[in-house]
Amino acid sequence: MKIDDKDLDKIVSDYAQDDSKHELPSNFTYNVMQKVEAAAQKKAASKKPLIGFVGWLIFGSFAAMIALAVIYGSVSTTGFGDKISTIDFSRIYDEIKLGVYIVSAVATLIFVDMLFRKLSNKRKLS
Amino acid sequence: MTEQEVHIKIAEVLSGNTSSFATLVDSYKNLVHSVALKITANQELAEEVAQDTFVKAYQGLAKFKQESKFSTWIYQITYFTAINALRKNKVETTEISDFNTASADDGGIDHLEKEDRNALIEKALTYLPAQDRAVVVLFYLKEMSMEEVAEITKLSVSNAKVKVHRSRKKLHDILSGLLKSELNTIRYED
Repeated sequence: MKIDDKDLDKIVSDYAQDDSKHELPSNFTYNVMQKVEAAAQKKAASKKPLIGFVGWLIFGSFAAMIALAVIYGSVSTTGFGDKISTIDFSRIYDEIKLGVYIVSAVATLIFVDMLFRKLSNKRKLS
Repeated sequence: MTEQEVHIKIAEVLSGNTSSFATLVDSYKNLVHSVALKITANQELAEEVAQDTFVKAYQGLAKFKQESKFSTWIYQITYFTAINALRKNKVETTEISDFNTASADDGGIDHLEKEDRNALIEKALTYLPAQDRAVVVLFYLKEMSMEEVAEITKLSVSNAKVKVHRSRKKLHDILSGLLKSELNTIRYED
């Protein structure tokens, strides 16, 4: 069955431009606008958070200050202002350092353990 | 609707007048639906694609660069929405190798009535992968230039040329195979 290129171009073009099956419901625009309005409302609602980024930043800083004052503030002081002014930053630094040491130690242990397991598996297989 | 009128309507929509978008929908709904229908070959899916296209157009209206035509932009959204819909609905395509494309001079497609011919092409198109089908439809629908096809499909002009050429070749093979099997069926019935 031969179809030459010219025929193909013509028949596909005729098919593509044939609108006999093209039927749109009369309420198509209405349906689209309903969807559009619903999407617009959803977008507006999701775009307005109760607390914005700056709000969260202020709140977060304040909460961090309270946490630092409670944990690292001088025990002898009673007022919150005094506690903030007496935050012991060297203690914070020491604890961060300690944290890094602990994480490194655990990571080394896991690494050594994995290495041993691999080696023993290899030995078992051989 | 002229491009200038379209730009005015877009400005109105962007300034908060949602109802102006209805005018744009009215002007472009036939165009969008006919492309969607040719790509999906399914009335319900085409309507869904057309609706989604307009919703996406509304949501991305601020991003529309007025350097290109609005129709090209809306074609682009329709093209990608239709391809995604076809993939989502998992409209299966048959491997082209399933067809016996051996040729024999038993007459051509010209012997068929227009309706039968269109039905055959529609069937042949459904055997093409979604992207190939969409590219062929775009190329023939409004006799678009290769530059327009490239812009809509987000391909380079040379890639679009290759894609159209390969898709046409595949369609040609499928049509030949379909025609042969149709002819065999007619002979068998006789």
